Amino acid sequence: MEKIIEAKNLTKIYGKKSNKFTALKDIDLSIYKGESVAIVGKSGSGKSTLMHLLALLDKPTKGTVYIDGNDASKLKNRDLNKLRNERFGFVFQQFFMNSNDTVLENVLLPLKIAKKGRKERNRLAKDALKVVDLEAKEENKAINLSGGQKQRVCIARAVVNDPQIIFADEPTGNLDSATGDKITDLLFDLNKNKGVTLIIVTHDEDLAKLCGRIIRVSDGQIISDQTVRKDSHQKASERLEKEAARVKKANREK
Amino acid sequence: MKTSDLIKQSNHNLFRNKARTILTILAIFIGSFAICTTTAIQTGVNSFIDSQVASFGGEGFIQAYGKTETDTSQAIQDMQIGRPKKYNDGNTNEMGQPAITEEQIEQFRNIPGIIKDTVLVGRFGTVTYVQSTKNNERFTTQLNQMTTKTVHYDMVAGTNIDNNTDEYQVLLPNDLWVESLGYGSSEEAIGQKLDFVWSDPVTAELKHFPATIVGVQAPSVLNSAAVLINTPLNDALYAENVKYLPATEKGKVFTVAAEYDYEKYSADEIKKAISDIGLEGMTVADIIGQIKGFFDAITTIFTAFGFIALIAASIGIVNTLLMSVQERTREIGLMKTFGMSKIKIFFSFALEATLLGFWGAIAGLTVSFLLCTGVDNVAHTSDGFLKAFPTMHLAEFSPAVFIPVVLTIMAIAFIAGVLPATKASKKNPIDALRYE
Repeated sequence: MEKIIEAKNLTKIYGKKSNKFTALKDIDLSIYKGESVAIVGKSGSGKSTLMHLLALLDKPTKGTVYIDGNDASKLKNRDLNKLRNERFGFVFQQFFMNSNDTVLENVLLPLKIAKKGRKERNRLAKDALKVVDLEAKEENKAINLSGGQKQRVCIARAVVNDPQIIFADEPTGNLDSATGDKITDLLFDLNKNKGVTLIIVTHDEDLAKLCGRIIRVSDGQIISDQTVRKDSHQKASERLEKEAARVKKANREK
Repeated sequence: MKTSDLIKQSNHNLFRNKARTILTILAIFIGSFAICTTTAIQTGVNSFIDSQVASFGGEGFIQAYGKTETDTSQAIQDMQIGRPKKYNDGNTNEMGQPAITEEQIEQFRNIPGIIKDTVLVGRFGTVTYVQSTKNNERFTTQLNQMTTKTVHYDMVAGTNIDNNTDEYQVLLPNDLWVESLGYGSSEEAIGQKLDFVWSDPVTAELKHFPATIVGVQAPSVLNSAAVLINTPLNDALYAENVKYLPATEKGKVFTVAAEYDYEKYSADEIKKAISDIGLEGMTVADIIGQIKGFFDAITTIFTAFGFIALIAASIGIVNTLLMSVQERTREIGLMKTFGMSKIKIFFSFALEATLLGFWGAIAGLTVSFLLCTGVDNVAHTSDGFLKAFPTMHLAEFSPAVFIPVVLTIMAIAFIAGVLPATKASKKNPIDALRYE
């Protein structure tokens, strides 16, 4: 399998001298193309820090992140921005939407940053909204959506640039279990059908179990790295297929 | 992000917090209004003066006086404070300027560059009264003479006088004269006769010099309300005026005037030549320069006040944007996460500041324009304070003037935006996203 992200000796230290706090200690990790990886840990374990470093949102104190085998620390800022813009998608627990903008405006933000023309970005954003079944809401203001709808918009925003990797930080953390399931389904659907590599940070064991691989982090170190038994993975796929059938049916009825 | 998207977004962001933005714009507006108004008035008055300059005597007009012991400005000052002047055998005028000799007049006439047939010798005719041939009303008046080569009067009707003709001609200084002489309109007065009458001081016989009204001038601040007559009429009147004077008094002249070939000779060259024959030359520009200099000093002070207001407003811009950066910390983080570069983040905030400046400047300019135009219209109504000067506009808004003003205000606003924009661009995406 092809390595998409590789971390070597990743260490992150916050603060200086007496306030020094080591968030991550010598992490070695490889993530392969098409994997779905859960990074699990309690709050303060360093799981978010790890994701930020892998997503190149932050720089490690020591160690290196390789993307497709290339040393990310050697990238120029411009190339780093371009990489994040074109190849990564992000979903956050707190959504982070511009609440006074329309749904469509929110979704096309990464394309606007990528200097795409108006027509193209509108088309791509509408396509992305179709994926999350929210094309009817494109002109609504983001502030008027429910929590589940907001997170679906965020997923649309994460996939609008057709990314290779989606980083999701507690994507279901602010949602009730039913809406959370729907979000999970959407994410795994992307993983399964489009081959998007999925990296989910969570403390939710149920969500973690749906992933193909669970990495447990505690006190800044990886304490276990296991590939999940097939049957639970299977369950998720089954549930997905059921859901897909439901959506199709709903679409037909429209 | 494309530049057009960047501008749109900055403008959009600007009006997210409307109250705050409008208050900031209001502060800029005050500075912009002050600067636009004073600049427009300065332009308006200067262009009015310029148009009046032409009426005063064109580009090539030069006047010469006898050189005084003290310099001219000292002489004017002495006159104003009322310092007694020594009597000099009747050879100086009330300004202390010595009389010009016949020889000097001849030398003046022969200065290279002086156009000979424009030379006016300061022997000014006077009149007992002028009488309308229409309603027979009589009026007293001062008479004036002027060269005609490069003089372009602000005319209401008719043409300028001709000094090189045998006909007696007169140019009326304004509409009031037209009315008083009994004519319904300026056009009606053209071609009519105005009778110049001299009462002989010895025989009391009335001598009549009927002159043709050739034109009517627009009112001017520079020429007094004196009636302008051509050389033949002046000379005829002067001959009557001095009829009984002894020969020594007849020729006394204190000023000569002419036009010079200003395309070939500089004013300084002519003044130098005039100085060489013991006279002192003064061009229209010298006279106007004094008026303009005074006016410019006043408007410069007001413009400076405008800039002080702008500096105060730019602190408002800094404050507004710092608050905006604070409020939008998460949004900045999000945009950085999505790969927006530092420089683009910087420009999105700097642009916001510049747009604040732009809207403030435009608001100031618009209100200034409306107000000045309004006041100008009121001032030109039948009892407005500028009714006597129909060609004068209180303020002039030319693009050449207000575009630099708007750009300057935008530049100041941009500079004010540098600090908040730098702060925004330096935010770490993670810290920005974690910000509560």
